[in-house]
Amino acid sequence: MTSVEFRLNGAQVAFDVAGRETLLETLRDTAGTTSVRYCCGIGVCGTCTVLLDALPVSSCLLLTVMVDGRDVVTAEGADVRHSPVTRRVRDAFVDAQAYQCSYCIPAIALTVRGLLQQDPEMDADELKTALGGNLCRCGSYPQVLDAVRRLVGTSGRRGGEQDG
Amino acid sequence: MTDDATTYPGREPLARRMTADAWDRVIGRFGFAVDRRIEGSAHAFAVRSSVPHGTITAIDSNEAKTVPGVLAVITGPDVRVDPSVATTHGETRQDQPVLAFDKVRYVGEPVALVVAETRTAAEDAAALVDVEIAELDLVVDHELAGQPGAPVLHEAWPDNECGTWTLRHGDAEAAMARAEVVHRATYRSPAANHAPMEPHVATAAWLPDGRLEVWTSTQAPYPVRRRLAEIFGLAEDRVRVCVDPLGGGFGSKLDLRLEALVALGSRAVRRPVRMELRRDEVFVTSAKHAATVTITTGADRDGTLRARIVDIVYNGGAYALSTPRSTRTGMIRSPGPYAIPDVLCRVVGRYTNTVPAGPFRGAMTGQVCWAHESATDELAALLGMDPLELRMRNVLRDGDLFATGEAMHGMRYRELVDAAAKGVDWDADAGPTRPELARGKGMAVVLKSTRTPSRSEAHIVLDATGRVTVRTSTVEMGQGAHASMAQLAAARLEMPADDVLVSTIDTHRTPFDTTTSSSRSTLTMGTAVERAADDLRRRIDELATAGRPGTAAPTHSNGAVTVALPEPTVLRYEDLLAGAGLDELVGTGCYQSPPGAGEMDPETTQGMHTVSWHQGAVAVEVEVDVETGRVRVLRAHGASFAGRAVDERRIRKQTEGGMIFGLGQVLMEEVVYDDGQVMNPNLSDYQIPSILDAPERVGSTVLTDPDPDAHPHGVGENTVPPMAPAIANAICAATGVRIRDLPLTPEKVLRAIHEPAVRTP
Repeated sequence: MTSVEFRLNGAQVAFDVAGRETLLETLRDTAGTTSVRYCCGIGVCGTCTVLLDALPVSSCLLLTVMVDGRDVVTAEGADVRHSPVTRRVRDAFVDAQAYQCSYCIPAIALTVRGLLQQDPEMDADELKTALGGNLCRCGSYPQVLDAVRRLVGTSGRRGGEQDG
Repeated sequence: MTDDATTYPGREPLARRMTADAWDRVIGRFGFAVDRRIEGSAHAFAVRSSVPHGTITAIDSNEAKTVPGVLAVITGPDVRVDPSVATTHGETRQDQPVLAFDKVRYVGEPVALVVAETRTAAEDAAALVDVEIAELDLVVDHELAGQPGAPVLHEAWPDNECGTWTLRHGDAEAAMARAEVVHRATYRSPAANHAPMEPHVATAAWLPDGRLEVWTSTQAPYPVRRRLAEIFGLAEDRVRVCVDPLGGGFGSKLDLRLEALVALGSRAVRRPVRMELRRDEVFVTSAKHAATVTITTGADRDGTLRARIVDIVYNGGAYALSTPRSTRTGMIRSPGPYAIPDVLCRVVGRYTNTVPAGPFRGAMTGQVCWAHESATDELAALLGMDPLELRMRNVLRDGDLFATGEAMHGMRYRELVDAAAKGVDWDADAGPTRPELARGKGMAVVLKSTRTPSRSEAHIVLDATGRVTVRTSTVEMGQGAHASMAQLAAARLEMPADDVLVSTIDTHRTPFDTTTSSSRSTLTMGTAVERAADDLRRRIDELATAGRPGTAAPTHSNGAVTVALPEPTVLRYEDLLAGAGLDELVGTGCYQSPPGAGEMDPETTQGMHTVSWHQGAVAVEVEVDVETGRVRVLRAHGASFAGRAVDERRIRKQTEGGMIFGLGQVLMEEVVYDDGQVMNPNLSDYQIPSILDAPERVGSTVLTDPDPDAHPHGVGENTVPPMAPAIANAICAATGVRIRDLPLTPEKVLRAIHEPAVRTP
């Protein structure tokens, strides 16, 4: 077992983990962070996304020992009052009713939030492309796109100009 | 963080309940079956057969038992000699063991169960259980499984027979002989996986007095209770089944799945035992039936359909599950929504050495809709007619007889076809595009029935605090059923829907429901909920007017009644209860399909098949890259008849989401078998649609019935089956090639373009 310390949603946490334990397992089974969810287990579906040092990553592909000393944020991360982006993203998904079963949705909203925090100028097409790694079996993509457009508008980064 | 009112965004009419739900769903606090943790649980992992067909000769679990943390290893032979566990079980045939004991019949079949302190330990130990299997000849293909000399899976069913039915309406053979134009073709579709985002999960615990409690991700709480009672020899009320919301079901969570396994494990270690599937296990736990459908259609030269003969073979997989009965359902839907005077349909299900197949969103219908709607376009080409016109001429209208002999009513197909066509600008030319890109439009319609007979019961409880709660066993799995139930109850009580709660499922508290399947809940449970709300309202009225005979019925608003005493007096629900010394008041309601519904003539399958026919249409525009064979769906428009609509936005999500779900089975999805092994049990090799695969333009039309007494129609599946033929028809319109074998991969499209033999005449 290895001792690992990292920041989880702003709080310092510590766990003793086996070397092969994934961050997904630690977050779900030990930390009780239920917004982070297992689906494919191989990093293709995006359902287990967390923000690692502000960037979206698949927690099923990360060993917990690798996040020692780093910053992990999950969808339920309680920074609504401190982060206008977080609040805007959540509002947009709620207003667009962008969910059906919603198992995948927190990770999708978190991905959008992480991307917009990195680059506030991202447009709807760029966000859509970036969401290619977040699967939704219910097919709520039209509503997710609606939420994205509520956030960033419909015109492209270059004033509505689009690549073919 | 506390979510006070100021943090709730949006102020739409259903604000609190719906929005609170939405908020939890978006931030990840909404609880799923997989989030249910029972204190003190041990963890189970199944040892699965790596051989598709064989005889178990030895199981050695000694090494597995040495793994630290392992509590028990239970094998099929252990269970077989245990008189307290049924040897085999099944919904329609008692053909399936909880753990295989003599034979294994598919790769992935559980042969032993390891229970350990942690999931990791259980998984590690499972790899050390040594199962020796003497291999037998295997059969994967359902057509081969029916041939003489084919390997036999179950001695009791020597032809691998798993559901045989015939439908006779008129004399189709004679009518076909007289027909001016005859078209005949065979259409194939493969096994597919439902791939719900949430894997299957279950926890079981035995109480000291011998009762069994199970928390499980099922769409069928009461059938699971019955099956567990049968398997373990318990009275049904000794089994308690609790169900949290699901992260998708699509039919994969309908039959008994993990429940008996965790119950076995829990009994062995005298602790709660939990099992959560890995994704590769989900792939060997349920499947869509592969099918071969040969359809022969006779018509007049003017396009009037005269006769149809359909021959269907479904691949049932290794165990029967519902296949012996659902084959009949698929057969009944196979002629499509057309007025055809003479129809003959024959169906057979076959056992094969593949994952047992069960309902898959649009159950048993995708396979036959693929056939009849491709055939409609092929016939139109033979006749030189516009396929839209051919459909308009023949779709069912009020008063037409369907193939079951029923006179149809409430038929809206012409409007649905029209709406779907308009949604993709059917008559407009495709815009300019590059020379290697060919564009075309295609259309398909579907007719689906709902499970009949069936029953749904609901209780609505008014408690001493004035809170109203619907108790229902309908499973919330993303379709929004619980929101609809709140809304239906609230409308009858004239209170805001956000003030009505919906309980989670617990067979000790929530009353009977057949299943959450078959797009039945809004009609059947919705009716039960409305009746329960009416009943509760009557009881409240009685309290409010007690001792004052002749008082006019009170009016209700926002959890209070207004009674003329003779001055209008407002009494809150909680005060009425307090005044009467009651802790709660319960309204009850039941929906039961009418007597005789669903009973068909066993020889001819004539009779009243269903309490509700589901009607849908889809039109698409595709772009085919003729150099690579890649197909892109540019536009998709779904049209669905909702009857009395409960919530239009949810209907649209079902209609549009259904097309995107269905797109997967058309362009990418196939469970690939090689020598009985599933070759792609993961979401990298078995791809499902991403946001980049979804059509750029997705639209929907919701047709409704304005009559306030009309019943709601199911809309959860209406746009799934038509996607395949609509896309194939569009590909044919774009390129002239006809493909009759799903999925429509780039390889197949390219081959069809370069092999004239498969071109349409």
